[in-house]
Amino acid sequence: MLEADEKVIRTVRAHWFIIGIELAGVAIFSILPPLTLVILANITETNELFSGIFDNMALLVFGCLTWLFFCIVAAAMMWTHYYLDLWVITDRRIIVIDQVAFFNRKVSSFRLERLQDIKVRISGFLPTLLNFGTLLAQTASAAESNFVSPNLPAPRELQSLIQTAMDARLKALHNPRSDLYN
Amino acid sequence: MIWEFTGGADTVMQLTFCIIAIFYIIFSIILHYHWESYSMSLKITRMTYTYYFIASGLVLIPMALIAFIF
Repeated sequence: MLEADEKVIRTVRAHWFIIGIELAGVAIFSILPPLTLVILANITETNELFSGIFDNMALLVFGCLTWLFFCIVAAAMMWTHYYLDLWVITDRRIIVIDQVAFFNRKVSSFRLERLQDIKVRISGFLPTLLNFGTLLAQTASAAESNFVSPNLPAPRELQSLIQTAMDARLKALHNPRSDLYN
Repeated sequence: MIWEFTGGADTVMQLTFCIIAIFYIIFSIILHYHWESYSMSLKITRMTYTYYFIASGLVLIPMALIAFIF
């Protein structure tokens, strides 16, 4: 994937809050059936309408475990998509890897010298508090000229890092004998 | 003639478990393929496998016991 002598400066994934909130959602979702059973167990003591519901306890437990199994599968999918979705900033390029779904992976890269503009957008209370936001990179490429990546951590630092890398790259290209070129 | 299901809860659970087991095998292969192909950290890959197989095992083993033994 990397060119000869190309150095990785940083790899960036979405902010931990994003995967945290997704996994918390799955965790809450996974306890719904057992919680419903507990509520029903309390109701059956007073209400005859639900009295026969616990006649086949094995089936109910099996149903709850099936639900839990699919919650684990969903969590594994979310984690995989989160972890495999990343920006790789090297001393020559920015590689944007978008793991959309299983068997749906989009890898784009643009060279630092072709980078025209890089913008940061932090909107909302939580993104401001936790310092994450959207990074928009515009390139001079004829094909896909805009790269948008939401929920990146410390976007201002990232913007500064990319600009520094871009300056170093331009300096190296205009001064081939410089050490930066190697 | 209308087909009538004559099996009990045991049959339903056993059949469901077999379908889930097949799904689990296919999903695990897909997951393994993605992590082996695209992960950049062996440590995180191993951690993911460990959590995934422990969590799914803790659910699938009781499911198998309920479906086939109890």
